[in-house]
Amino acid sequence: MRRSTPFLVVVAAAAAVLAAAACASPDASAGDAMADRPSGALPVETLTVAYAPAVPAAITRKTPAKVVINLETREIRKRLADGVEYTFWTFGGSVPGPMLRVRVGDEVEFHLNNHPSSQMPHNIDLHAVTGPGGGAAASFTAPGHSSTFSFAALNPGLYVYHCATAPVGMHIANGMYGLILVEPKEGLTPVDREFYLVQSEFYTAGRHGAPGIQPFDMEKALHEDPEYVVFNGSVGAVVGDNALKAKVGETVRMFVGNGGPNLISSFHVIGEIFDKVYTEGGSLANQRDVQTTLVPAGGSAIVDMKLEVPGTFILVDHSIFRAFNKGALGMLAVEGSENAAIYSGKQDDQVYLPEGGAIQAMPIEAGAAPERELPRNELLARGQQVYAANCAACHQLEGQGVPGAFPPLASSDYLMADKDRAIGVVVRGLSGAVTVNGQPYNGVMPSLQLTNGDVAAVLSYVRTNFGNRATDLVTLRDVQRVRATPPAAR
Amino acid sequence: MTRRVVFAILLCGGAVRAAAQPAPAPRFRSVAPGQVRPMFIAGVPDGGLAVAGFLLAERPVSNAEYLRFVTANPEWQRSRVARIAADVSYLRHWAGDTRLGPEVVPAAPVVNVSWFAARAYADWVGGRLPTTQEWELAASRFRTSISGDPDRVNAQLLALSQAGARDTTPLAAFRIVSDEGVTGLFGGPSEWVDDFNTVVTSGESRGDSGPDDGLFCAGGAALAADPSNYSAFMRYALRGSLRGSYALATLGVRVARDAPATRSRGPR
Repeated sequence: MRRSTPFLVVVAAAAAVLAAAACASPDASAGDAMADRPSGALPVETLTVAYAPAVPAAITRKTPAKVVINLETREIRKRLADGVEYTFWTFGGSVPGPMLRVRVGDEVEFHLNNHPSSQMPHNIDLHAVTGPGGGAAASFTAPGHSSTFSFAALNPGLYVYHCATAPVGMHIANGMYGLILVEPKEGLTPVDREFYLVQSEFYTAGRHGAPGIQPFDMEKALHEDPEYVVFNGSVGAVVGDNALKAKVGETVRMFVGNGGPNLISSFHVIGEIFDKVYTEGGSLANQRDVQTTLVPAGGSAIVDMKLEVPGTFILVDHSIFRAFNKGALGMLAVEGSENAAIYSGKQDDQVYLPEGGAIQAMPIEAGAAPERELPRNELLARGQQVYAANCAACHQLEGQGVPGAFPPLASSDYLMADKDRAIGVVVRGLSGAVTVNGQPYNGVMPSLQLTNGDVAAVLSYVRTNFGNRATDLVTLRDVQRVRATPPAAR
Repeated sequence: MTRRVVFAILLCGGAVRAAAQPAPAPRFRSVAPGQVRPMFIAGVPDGGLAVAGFLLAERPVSNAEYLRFVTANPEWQRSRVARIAADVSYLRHWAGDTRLGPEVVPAAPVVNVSWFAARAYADWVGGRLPTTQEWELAASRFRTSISGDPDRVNAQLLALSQAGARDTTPLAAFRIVSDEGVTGLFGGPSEWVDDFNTVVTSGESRGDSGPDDGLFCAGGAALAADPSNYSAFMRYALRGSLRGSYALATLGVRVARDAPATRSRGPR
């Protein structure tokens, strides 16, 4: 075409200029983005988007272009969690919306298409846009209509985009967010794999897990108390079969966004350390060796890490109840050969007895208040408390015991036959075979570190309850006497 | 050429009409006078705006009723209507100019009608469109008919308005009945109001100066009469996005009329 010749010359000249300027200082400002534009028309291309967790391919061209983006807003009902459905408002039919990828200096021609079935008007605010509303006013679109506006990508970085139609909080809370990456002039450092993740919350009328179609609960949203905190738009979206997959030895990059609408994320990969972090999704890899990085609501972060060992590495928001109780949990499944030098796994498992095998008997504290014989009702009341605190765990609440393990105290012939023997069992413990109510038991009852008053109380209680009919109580003196008497040799 | 002549004659108020059925008479319900606190209250007295009592149709206009309208008024048929009065989506769900087709439920609320068309219909049946505040007044009369808890009414209305205006079956629209017997205000398509274009919005809900200040992101909650009334937010946002020629699949029409004591003669 005749008209393209001078255009090609201009582009070639621009390319030469850009190549020369490729070693520009890292402090190159946004203004350079416009200065680098060739005069004359930019080449036009239509953007290919990618849906989470996939990332669009890295940009290979070294010059600005005019990029045409078509994004559709659509309201659809689909799965939020097992048995739970939600009416999401989406970009591109998914939560998060697709990831967009352009290059600094590009002119973006943005078409926002609102599906005719939408109940609501929608628009878009891209944080990569320098201009009022980030494009919101220019893209306000009724259902069944389309709006167009253009902007220049002045700054590199990883930016959130979201709907900004009133009520804004509700539009965001229903799922209208995604990420747009503006690559720097020289592109990002190449890595083996890139992933796209967005954390966000959902505020449903029903509690977490309540089945059925859940409507949005605006009161919970106002109180910043979500029922669901998830990666990529639903519980389990990045788990199991949907886990991110990589191989040992690969360097992996995650583009992590936070759609909010309210919570800040403490993003952490269990068992991995971020070798490089582009804090808050800026254009500088400004931090190294980070365990957990903050992702602001309406913000992002880029993390790079090299995978050294195989296994399943869990992605979490380390505000940990969100991970385990609300759904903020994902998986990175890494395949490859083990490396015991880096991580050995469990090497040994042994019994641990720091003071040896004997049951420890703690001395009764000196200076304890001197004990006295209690009247009957006080004695039995205390005995009930002692029983509940010390005995019920094994002998059960009604003294019925556990067949084959712990003998019953209820209507127990063994207990009632010999009062002193019963006191001795509580004070010294009992091991070896016994027969209780015709059943054999052969276990160990530890000696219990109770005061003499407590022993008297609990035995009085047990011997007058659970079907046992003692006519006499166990007194303090009884216990002191038994304690003082050495146990009979067997 | 012939079409232009015919259109010109009709436009000049020609009384020549195709032999037509008489206009259907909507059944009206009486909406009692009351106070309405418009969504954005800058400049409105504390108690709100006084709205006079009026009559509101019990049901929105149905496909069948609208079919009678376009049969009697061919200038409003899909293939003939001026684009300035109704855009390309006008009646797109019908099978033809005067055919609903098997997909369309005759008793379901008609959608894909523009504001100009809605006004023409209302005029044809001897009524008018309700104003925004009249519609909101009628829509506030749900204290007793929605189950139990008055504090949860806003949340319930929000849930209803999300229930899907896409479902234009008669059951969906008419199941929800206001205290005054008006059905389908929630759970069905949104409805045109006469003064939809008085919603002051630039589409940038977070602007912070000038006429936008009622609608900026924080102001949208702080200055709104009832920030918990999210279904009202949604209706105001939709109205703000509209133009008179727009025909939406989620927007229908309902007829109103002045209350008997104040009824004026002729169209507004």
